Order: sequence, then C-alpha cells, then structure tokens
Amino acid sequence: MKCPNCGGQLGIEDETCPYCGTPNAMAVQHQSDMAKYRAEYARTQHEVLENTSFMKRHGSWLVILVVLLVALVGGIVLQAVSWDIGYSIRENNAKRDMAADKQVLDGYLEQGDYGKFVGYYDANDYYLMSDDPYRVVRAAANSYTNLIECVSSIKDPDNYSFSPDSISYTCGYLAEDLNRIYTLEEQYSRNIGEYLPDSMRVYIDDIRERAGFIATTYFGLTQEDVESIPDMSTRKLAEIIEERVSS
Amino acid sequence: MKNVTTAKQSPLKVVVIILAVIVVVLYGTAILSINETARGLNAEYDARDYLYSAEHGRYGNLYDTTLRDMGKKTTYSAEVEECRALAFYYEQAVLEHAYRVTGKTDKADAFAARMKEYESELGSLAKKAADVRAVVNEG
Repeated sequence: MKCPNCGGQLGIEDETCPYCGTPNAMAVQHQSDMAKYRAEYARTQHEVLENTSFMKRHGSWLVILVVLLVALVGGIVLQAVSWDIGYSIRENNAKRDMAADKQVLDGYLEQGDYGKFVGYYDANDYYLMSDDPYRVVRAAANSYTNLIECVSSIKDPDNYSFSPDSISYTCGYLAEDLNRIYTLEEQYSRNIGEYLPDSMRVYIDDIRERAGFIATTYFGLTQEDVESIPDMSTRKLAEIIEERVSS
Repeated sequence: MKNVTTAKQSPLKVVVIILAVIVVVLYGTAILSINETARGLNAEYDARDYLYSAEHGRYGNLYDTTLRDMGKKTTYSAEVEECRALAFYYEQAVLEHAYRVTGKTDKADAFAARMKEYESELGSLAKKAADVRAVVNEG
C-alpha cells in the first residue's frame, strides 16, 4: 500500500505516512473493523461459556426429568391396566389350584355337601375360569344354599324382625332360586355340554330333589307347583310362596 | 447491615421433585390395586359374626356366614368351629325334616346320622341343637 500524497510505502498499522505525515484512512478503517471483530468474538465466547456452564449445572437434572416423564407415562398406563393384571393373576391362580382342589370339590359333591362345595368353590375363585365343568352345579348349589338359609327366616320371622316388605323380598329371592334350579339347561343352553358334563347331572338331580322337598315342606308349595316351576314366571311363583307362607 | 442471601431453589429441581412424588404415588397405588384385585374380595369374619347369629337363633345367617368364610388355608378358633358345626347341623336338620315329612325315611335317617356327627362337635353350643330342631320342625 502506497501514500496517496508522496507515494511512500505505508504499513496497515501506520495511522500517518512516515514520509509526508498525510493521515492513512485505510489504517483508521482497519482499526475500527478490528475493534468490532474483537467485540463480537468476546460476545460469542461469553455465550458459549454461558451455555456450557448451564448444561454443566443442570445436565443431570434434565436427565432425571426425562426419566421421570417416561416413568410417569408408564405409571399412568400401569394404573389403567392394574385391574386387568390383578384379575389375570387371580384367574391363573385358580387354574393352577383347580388341579389340586378337584378332589376336594368332588368329595363335597359326593357327600351331598353342596353348601361346602359352593363356599370352597367361591373362596378359591373357580368361577373366574372360562372352561369350568362345575359351573352349572355351582349355580344350582348356590341357589340350594339360599333356600336352606331362608328356611330359618321363613319359619321364625319374628326373630329376624321382618317387615312385610322383607317377606316379599325373601319370597322373590326364593322364587328366583327355585326357578334357577329347575331351568339350568335353558339358562346354559349355549354351553351346556361344556358347563354340565354328564358326570355332574346326578348332582343336579339330587339338588332338584332336595329343593322340591324343601319347597313343599317349608314354603307351602305343592308337588304340582314344583313340577310347574319351569313354566311359571318367577313373579307368579313369588306371589304363591308369599301367599302360602303368610297364611 | 448484614447481607442476607436467600437460597433460591432452581425451578427445574422443583419440577423434578414434584414429578418424582407423583410417580411414586402412581406406582404405589397401581401395585396396591393389582395386589387387591389379585387377592379378591373374599369376606373375612371373626368369632363375633358367628356368635351373634348363633346366640340370636339366626341359623340361616349363621349358615351363610359359614359358607362365605370357607377357604383352603382358613383355620378357625374352637368357638368358631362350634358355630360352624351348628350351621351344618342346621342344614342337615332342614333336610332331615323335609325328607321325613315327605316319607323318604331312608334319606331322612342318613341326614339324621349326619346331624348326630355335627351335634358331637357343638361343644358349648350343644343346647342350641334343640332350638334348631324346634325352628325347623315347628316354626
């Protein structure tokens, strides 16, 4: 670079010409640019340091936050399916135990202990099993136990502080139970082969015989009433029972 | 004047702590719910439940309690065992009377034999046997 006045050689840092003293405009511009670049450099350096320091301070917390958010989603999903998981565990336990308990259940049935059968069956959740050969017998036995239970309250109503409404309710339940016992094939017609194998029919017959005798002895029904239960509505049956036990 | 500086908690830390508490509560209740569903809702009865029905002559209720309180791992106290025997005595008495009045004496005798078995287990409730028969046979 040369001086525009004397043609002498100028350096980029020379503010004036060392030969004639003329000011060097290029040097002034250069210094101004350099000052601007230094300022920008300093600002960028500061920002980089600042950001690096934030990550250093909060990096582990951010990781924990992300993990917690994932865990939160997992927890919400677990809440939503918790009942299904618990139910599935019960069902699997019932399946596992059924093999060992079959002898116990069969023993109760052979002894005619239908109440114990129902109690044991229910306590061990066997009603949760989809392929259950005892299902129909259990339904009949459960209704049979309700009949037994009601004998005491029908025969001794004062001891139960029964109101007329209570007697009506009881007679309604009795009618439903009697109807259930005598219409099992109809109720389970879709899966009757699966739920009522031939080996179980003997127990159904026995429960029906007992139910019939209980109904005629304690609930005032006649043998003809019992025989017509499958064709009678539960409402009609309840009315007959209520009329007979009230008289 | 003393220069007091207050320790200011980072908002990020506060969010993390709140989230952590929510997650713990969420998983805890989910596990409790699974456990409860897996255990089922089988009713549990104590001696008072049995004794109330037995002493008040509510044999139907006693029978119901006895059946609901069955399970393979259940053990019973001596007084509960007596109440349970009374419940089954009541069942056999109902059947014995029903078969007897219907003229099925063979089966009635079989039920009577089982009544005797349960009667021998009644212990301090032995006097209740007559009351059961009175309720069932006469009302």
